[in-house]
Amino acid sequence: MLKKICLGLALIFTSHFAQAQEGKIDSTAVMILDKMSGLFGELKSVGFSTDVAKDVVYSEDFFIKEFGSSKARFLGPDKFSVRVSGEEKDDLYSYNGSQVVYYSFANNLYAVADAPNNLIETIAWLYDDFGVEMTLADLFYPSFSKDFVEEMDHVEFLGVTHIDGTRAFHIGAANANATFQLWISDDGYFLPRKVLITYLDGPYSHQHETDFYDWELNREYPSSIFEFLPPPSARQITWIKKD
Amino acid sequence: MKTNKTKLAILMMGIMAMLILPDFASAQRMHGAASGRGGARPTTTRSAPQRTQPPSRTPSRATSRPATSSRPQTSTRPANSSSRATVNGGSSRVTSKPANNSKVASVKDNKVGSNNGNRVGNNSGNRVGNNTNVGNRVNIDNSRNVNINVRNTRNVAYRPPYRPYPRPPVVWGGYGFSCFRPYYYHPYTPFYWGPAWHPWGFFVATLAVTAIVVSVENQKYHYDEGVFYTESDGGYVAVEAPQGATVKVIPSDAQTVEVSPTVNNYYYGGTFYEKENGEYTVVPPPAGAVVDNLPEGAEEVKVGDQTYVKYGDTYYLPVQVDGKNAYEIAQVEEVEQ
Repeated sequence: MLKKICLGLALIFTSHFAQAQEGKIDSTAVMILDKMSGLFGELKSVGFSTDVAKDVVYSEDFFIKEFGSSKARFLGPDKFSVRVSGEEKDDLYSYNGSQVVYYSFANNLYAVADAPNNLIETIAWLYDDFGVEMTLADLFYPSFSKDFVEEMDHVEFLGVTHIDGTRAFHIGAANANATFQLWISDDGYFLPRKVLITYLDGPYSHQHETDFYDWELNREYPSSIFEFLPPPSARQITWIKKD
Repeated sequence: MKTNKTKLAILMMGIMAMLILPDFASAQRMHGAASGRGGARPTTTRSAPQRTQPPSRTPSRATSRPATSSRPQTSTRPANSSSRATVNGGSSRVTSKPANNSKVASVKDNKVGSNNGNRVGNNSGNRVGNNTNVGNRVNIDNSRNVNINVRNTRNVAYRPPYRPYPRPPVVWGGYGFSCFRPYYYHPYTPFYWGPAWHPWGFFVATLAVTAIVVSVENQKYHYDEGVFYTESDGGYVAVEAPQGATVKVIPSDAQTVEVSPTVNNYYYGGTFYEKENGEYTVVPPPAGAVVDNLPEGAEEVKVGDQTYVKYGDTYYLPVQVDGKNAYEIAQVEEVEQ
């Protein structure tokens, strides 16, 4: 009888352990994410460049890799300028505190929309109303580490690696829809160096990889760089909202 | 033995001398070369202007300085610059400060047209079922100060294609946009179909004698050379062609548009006609078909990553057909999200 109870208890315990291992939130990883999030919370301005490689659907079961890059500058509390270059596109999104302007360098046309009065709301509004997704803007949300840990079933510190000769903390995370890998630089600033997302929600998994570089922290950006002056002969077009 | 030693000493000295002298020689050469180069180098000419410059500079500075101090702009500008802690106190610009107007619409906008008090011009007795939504109508304020609605709410934006789309629609704001051809952007340039053709809202005092009267659902239109007019303010205003109107003749330069392997439509001035029993009936734009040109009065709209041209309620996707720029009529239908 006692043996049976012991076995039962052992089974219960092992199953618990197994569960704990499946859904693990690693405190070291959370600490590193908090550090990164904390830094963004303190910054008055931030600028960076990215290189993006993503899988896009070419046909039914064929993904092709598309490359792009961007140069972003954010000035708190209400300005940004993001230039996105990629295959067949070269666009600028500019926010001066009251309006967001989209400008297509390739087609010389632009669209203007009255925007909310702060960065975080404007980024969310751009996504909700116009489907414009800033490159991993989630990273800059004040509650990033909290939201991230809440949304992930598994967050783990995978050790220290080197990217282009610089030390970086490697963090892995996963939920039912995607796996995330973040490389966060070990230079005291805890800035993201690389983010690799593998989406698992479709019939085939596909990846979205972003490299960050040329960080500019607390640089005093003149506000004029966030103002858009339509180039000669540029045409204004109507921006169609989602709702 | 002694002589040997002295010989050796002399030999050594000789070797030493040979070793050192070339150095000296080269040093001399170097020196000579340096001095020679120095002599050849226009050191004197270089120093000369340096020497002469200061006196020449000072008088010019002396003369220019009062000029700058007397310049009214610079003396007034500091008022601005003192308040602004920038390098030069702020620049004056030639271009005016940007004042961009927000221009946003939604796909739904064109679907909710209602006939509430749509008047054509100042003629209260002449009502046309028009769309009153701002952003949809074409209000032309010409010299006669006629503010007019030229849209027709009874018109349908498109009619579905004869074959299904191979891809699921691009969903945007509750509407699915479908096209057969891939997006190929080219700028929209309004097309003119000749002197007899007029865009919506165009006012003419008189019509040609060839004009005929066409009635559609108790509404009287005048038709001439591919353009429909309504009476307004003592003249006539070009309006959107009413779907269902039937005319006997359309301009000869109307484009043939393939709707299906067995059906052709005719396109002229933004209007589609279907031929039946020798007559031409105005029909909704056939989705999936392509046209070469769009008239004045259309506007470019950004829907997600693509820029459509919207004419009336119809969305046209810029495409290429056999290397030529064209527009495909898009199917835009409500989808469940």
